[in-house]
Formats: sequence, structure tokens, C-alpha cells
Amino acid sequence: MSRRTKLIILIGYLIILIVSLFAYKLKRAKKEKTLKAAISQINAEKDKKRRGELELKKIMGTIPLEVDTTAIVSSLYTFAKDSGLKRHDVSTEGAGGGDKLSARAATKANKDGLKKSRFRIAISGGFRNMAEYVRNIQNMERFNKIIEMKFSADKDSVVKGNIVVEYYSLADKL
Amino acid sequence: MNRLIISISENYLRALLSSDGTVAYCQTFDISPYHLAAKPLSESSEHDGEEAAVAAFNSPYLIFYEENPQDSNPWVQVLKKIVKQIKSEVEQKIDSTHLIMPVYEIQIDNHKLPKMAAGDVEKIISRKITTDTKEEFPPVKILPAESDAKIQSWFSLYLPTSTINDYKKLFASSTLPLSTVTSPIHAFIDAFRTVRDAIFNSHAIFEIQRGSVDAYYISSDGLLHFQTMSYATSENLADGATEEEQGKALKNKVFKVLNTIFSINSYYNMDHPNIPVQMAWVCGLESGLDEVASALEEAMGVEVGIAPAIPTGNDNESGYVPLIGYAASLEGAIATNYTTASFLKRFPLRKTYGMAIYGITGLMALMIVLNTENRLNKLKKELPPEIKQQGGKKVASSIPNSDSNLKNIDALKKVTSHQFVFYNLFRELANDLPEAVYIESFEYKFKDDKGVLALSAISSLENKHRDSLQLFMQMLDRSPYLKNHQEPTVAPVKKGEEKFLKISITAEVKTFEPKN
Repeated sequence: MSRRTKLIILIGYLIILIVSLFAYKLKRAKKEKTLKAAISQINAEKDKKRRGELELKKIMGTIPLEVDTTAIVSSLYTFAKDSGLKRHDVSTEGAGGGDKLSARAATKANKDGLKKSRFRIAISGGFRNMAEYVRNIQNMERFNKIIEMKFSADKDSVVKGNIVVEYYSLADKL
Repeated sequence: MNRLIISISENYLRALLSSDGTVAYCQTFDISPYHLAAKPLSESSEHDGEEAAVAAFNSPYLIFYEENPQDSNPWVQVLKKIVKQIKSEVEQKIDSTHLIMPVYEIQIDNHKLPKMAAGDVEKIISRKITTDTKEEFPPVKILPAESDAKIQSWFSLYLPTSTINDYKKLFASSTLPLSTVTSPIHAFIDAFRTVRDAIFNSHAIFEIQRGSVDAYYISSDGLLHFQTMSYATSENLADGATEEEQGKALKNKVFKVLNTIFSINSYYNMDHPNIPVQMAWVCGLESGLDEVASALEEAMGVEVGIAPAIPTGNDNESGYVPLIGYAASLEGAIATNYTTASFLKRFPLRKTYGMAIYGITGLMALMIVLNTENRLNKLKKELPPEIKQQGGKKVASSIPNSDSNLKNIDALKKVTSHQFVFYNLFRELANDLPEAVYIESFEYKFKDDKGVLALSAISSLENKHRDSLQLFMQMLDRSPYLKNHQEPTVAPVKKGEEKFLKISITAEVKTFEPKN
């Protein structure tokens, strides 16, 4: 084999080697990038899940497992008495007449995994009594949300109104 | 084109400028160590070293150098000075510089080989030199010598690459980069190119100068014999020497030269008894060449000419025969040039080097591949198994999520978010409600994550309470608990005998999130 042929073969070999390596590195770099992206996405998801779990734990700590309707009603009557309301009636929504108290609150499990129990409260009394009563409800340890509140005043400055309060408890699947 | 030809010998340098084939300048520079220059004045002068030497030899063409045992080549010291002097004397632009190497730098060998093509001979001789010197591409030239029916003799002239590079560096440092390099033998052959066709047997050329005779026996196509022999030079005559003394000295010198030539010729005759000398040429820097030529003609019985074969018209042409010949061959682009192998030629492609290159590059490639694969494997190990199967795709859908409540976290957060505190609004209404304004109805609804309040109030239309409604609106505007209230609707109402103005307004309640 002549020297020229040897040189051509060597140059050819080096060119092929460099091109192959370059192509290989390019392909691998692409794959590496995909893997790194996947790993970082997984880590982000894991972090998100961890944070979510912590948050859920925290939230769930504020929500009881059971509705315990009687306890709620009892508390509401206590608030009414403390506030000095003239009239106070509590009924569970969906349980029949507005004035009568049902033995069990109508509960509905939502998609978010919570059971919601609604209580309709009819009140009458002075403005200050009503304000104090609402404050007591909102300050209640048991987590709730006032969904609706309607009241009007008559000529004797007596406030009459209705309040709908939602109480939450964890659904069975939790 | 101005070509500067330089011929270096042991203790002198000849320079010749050929301007388009015409000799425009020629000069000889002798070099001598300082201690030789200082000797004649050592007793009579208080000067020493260079000053004494210059005083002793007041010639611009005699250059002195320090004898340094570490520096074997004296030209390193003197060349810059000589080049400077040449440039100042030439006064023409030098286009290229060409060197005739000193004969002692060239390794001359004789080879007897079966008859074959010159190319094959060159290969065989090159390989032999490669074996001897370990130089892969030796700058070697071959010249045919005598031949018989089967055997052909060849002269090989080998000039080591390192020597060529040394001289190139030396001249480059003296601002005269070398274009070509040749040997004095090739230069002499070039000088007699015009008469070689007429050579049937051989021509003998004797260059006589500075105490030595260089003899070249050339044939029509090559070199038959080459020899250098010294003769003892006579003492320089004093300035006041008589003609008789001068004649005696010349005869003495001619005798010594002839004696040397006869010695050389006897060697030639012994080696080449069948190739008689057809004609002889004498040349050189020595004076008395005519006397030598006539004496030689008489003694050898052959025609003797004074070289160069074709006179140039220059007075000192006999002293510059090889330079003239080299200049002529350069002009005709047929000069012999000793070149070193180019980079690509020198590039190692022998079996060992070749294997090393292939091995190292292959190993490097393998290392790169292994390193990359290792890195990828490490990354793959970090992936969950189900994603590994998918090659790292569809990550989000593949992440395990056993707790479905996580999906409802946003909904739960909404439900458990802070709600509007009614007591603050009630307090504001109780404290800041303007005089003669009464809240008639208060209606709040929480829907779509926001609480909307519809408020209606009545106000007396008595003159003194005219601006009550305006004050009521200002109160609502200032309220930190309401936002985005719409324009109120106002309508007169009658209650009993008294007339009132009813104002209804809708606004969103503001929820204050605790600052974490």
C-alpha cells in the first residue's frame, strides 16, 4: 500500500470517526435533554404532591369527619340565646319545613371530597343582637360558611331575616 | 530577477549576484578566528582582541570570529555582518538567495549496483541511508559514475535534514531566507553543462584556492571522481619583495599545486584506468592560474582550459565557477535543490505510528461513547420504572398519584378560604350610617366564589336631610369591606304620609386573606 493510499485511508477514517461521533453525540444530547426534562418534571410533580399533601393535611385538620347536626343546632341555639335574639329557628335544608328541625341534616358529598350540610336559620331581633349572632357563628370552631343572608327591618327597628350556613365534614371516601 | 548565490567553504564565503543571468556582483569574504589576527601584533601593540585584529588585517572582506568550543559553526557569528556588507555593496533588491553548501557537510558515498533505472537506484540508496541514519526521508541526490556491462556505479550525495534546517535558520536570522540549497558538485556539473555533450571520456576540473585543490572528474552524464587535497601555502611575501622573490614564490606555489593535482590524478587513474582524462580545467581564487594551466598542459599532455567554459566577462570569473554554474541552472530552472520532506510526507504512517493513531483515536471515541452512555444510564436510573419503559415520555401521566384528593386540593382550598367577616360591616353600618338613613333590606349571597351584597336604604326627603343619601354613598365608597359597587338605583317611596327616597345598591364584599 502506497503512502498516499495510507494517508487517504487515515483521513477518511478520521472524517468518518468525527462525523459519527458528532452524530452520536447529537442524538445522545437530545435523549439526555429529554431525560433531564422528564426528571425535572418528575421532581417538580413530586414536590407539588408533597406540598399538596401537606396542605391537604392542614386543611383536613380543620374539617371534622362527621356532620354532628345536633351539636351544630345546639350551638346555634346557644349563640341565639347569648345574642339576645327574640326569635330563632333552625332547620336543615332539604329536610322539610323551614320552621321544623329535622333529626338529620341533608348532606351531599361533593366531587371535592367534602360533605356539605346546610342549615337554614330564621331570626328576629335587634340589629346588634343579629350582628352578635352572626359573629358567633363565624367565630365558631367548627368550619362553616354563610351562603346566604337576608334581613330587613320593620318600622319598630326589629330585624327579621334568614341565614343559610354550610357546615363541612369529610366524605366517607376520605 | 536578482539571485544572490552564496557558496560557503571552511574559511571563506563567496557571494555572487546574478541579475537575469548576468554577473552583477561577486565578492569573497574570508573568516578567521581572533587569536590568529592578534598574533602578529601581540608584541608590538598594546591593543588586544578585535582592535588588534582589525589593525593587523585592514580589509573589509576579512571577518573575525571568536573561537568558541561550544559553537562549532563559526558562520553563526559572522554571517549577519557579511550579509549586511553584501547588501550595502549590492545596492539592488535581492529577490532570492541560494546556497551552495560546504562540501564537508555532505556525505558522499560510492555505490556499485546492477544496472537499473535511476529511480530504483535512488530508492535503494535512500533506504540504505534511512537504515544508517534513521532519517525517514533523507535529502539525497544520486549521480551516475562509471559503468560496465552489468554494474553501474553511483555517487550518493546526502545532506542531513537537520543540516539544511540549521543553515535555513542561520540565513533566516540574517534576513536572507534561503530559496534553494545545492552541493558544490552539482554546481560544478551545472557550470560545465554546456561542454558535457562533448565529453567522450572525462574532463578534470581543478579548483585551486586557499591551500587546497578540489578535483572533479566529470563524464557526459555524471561524476567519475571527486577528491579534495590540501597543499602547504607559502608565506606571504613582504611588501618590498623583489620581482625575483615574487617569481620564485609563484613557481613554488605552481609546483605545489601541480604536485597536488598529480597526486589526485594518480588516484583517478588507479580507479579509472580505462577512462582517460580528455581535457582539464583550472579555476579558483588563487593567482597564477595561467601558469598552472600551461604547466599542467605540458605535464599531463592534455588540453587545459581556464574555467568557466563560457566566459562571463567578469575579471574574477575563475574564482566563482560553481556560483556562475548554479546561477545559470537556476535561470534555466534545472538546478538541483536539496529539499526536506514536507509535513504531509513526514507525517508518520508507518505501521507503528499508524497503529498508534488508529488505536488512540479509536480509544478516544470509545471513551466518549462510554462516558456518554454512563451519563445516560445514570439519568435513566433516576426515572421511575414505568417511565423508563416509555423512554422518558409522557411523564405527567405516568407519575403515581394514589391520593385522588390531591386533584381536589384547589376546590378544598376554595371552600376553606377565608370568608367575609360580617361583623365589621355591621359595625360600620351601625356607627357610620348618616342621620335619617335607614337600612331597609340586607341581602347577601355567596355564589361562584364571591359574595354579593344587595343593600337598600331609605332616607327622609326633609330639607335638613337632603344630603343624607350622598353621605350614605360616600360611606359605601370609603368602606374597606365593599368593592365594585354599581351605580345605585333611586326611587321615591311613600310610607304613610311621609315621603322617602329609596336607594338600592349592589356591591361585592371584600375578603381579607391573612398575611402569612
